[in-house]
Amino acid sequence: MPYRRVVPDETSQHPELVEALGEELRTERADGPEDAPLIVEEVLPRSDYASVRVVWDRWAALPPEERISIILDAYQRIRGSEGVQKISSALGLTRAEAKRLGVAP
Amino acid sequence: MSFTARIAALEPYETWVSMERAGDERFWDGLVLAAGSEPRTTGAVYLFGYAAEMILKVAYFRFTGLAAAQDIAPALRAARTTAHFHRQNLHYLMGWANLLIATRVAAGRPLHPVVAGLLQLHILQLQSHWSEVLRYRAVTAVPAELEEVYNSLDWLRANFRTLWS
Repeated sequence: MPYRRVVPDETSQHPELVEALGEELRTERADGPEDAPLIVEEVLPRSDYASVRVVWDRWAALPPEERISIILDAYQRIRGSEGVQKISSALGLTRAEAKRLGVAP
Repeated sequence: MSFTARIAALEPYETWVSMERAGDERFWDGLVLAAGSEPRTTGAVYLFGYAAEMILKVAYFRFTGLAAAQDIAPALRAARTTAHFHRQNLHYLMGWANLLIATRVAAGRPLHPVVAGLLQLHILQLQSHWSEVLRYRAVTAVPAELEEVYNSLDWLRANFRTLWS
């Protein structure tokens, strides 16, 4: 396997979002309140990589790149470098965006 | 000689090289429709969608190392059999995006998850406005819809090399 290093932004401008998303990742609860982030991991066939999609309204004001950065930071915090390197793609949407784009949970 | 006969004489089968050029041509065709004094917005969206489809296909063919002069028909048929096109035809943009992402993972050369995520986002935006059946519809696309399609296609064009290299 070729070497790949994904370095999250250590000085995240949204530590509270990273913390909240990380907490959701840590608990892996099946149900939660409406305002909790919904994390969907789709495992790629015949691989240990997963495509991660998070639906959450708290980041509505943030651009896509910052939302992805928050996702990677949260995974780094909870699952470590090995976990974050097994993410094939990361995508952050709000509930309204997910509905409009046809990927509502 | 008819146009189709002339095409068959010049390009007897499809290659990714001709598809890459065709995708670029359809982009400029769409831009003419979008930027005219009386914009033809639905026509522009229609052509922009095909331009996006061709970018994804060519990125996949380039990454898999298909020879420039090779007929792409067998590779298209093979792609159709993958899980990424389950119950979909080969115009399914997300199928091509996910096939590219998965193929790169399998090859040990995954896209950076930020790039792959943005790719999926732009494909979702394109898919929300475009389908090949637009040609049968008379409804006019509003400027905001055209703009979103254009912006996503612009991202694909700007990141084309990153997708396959």
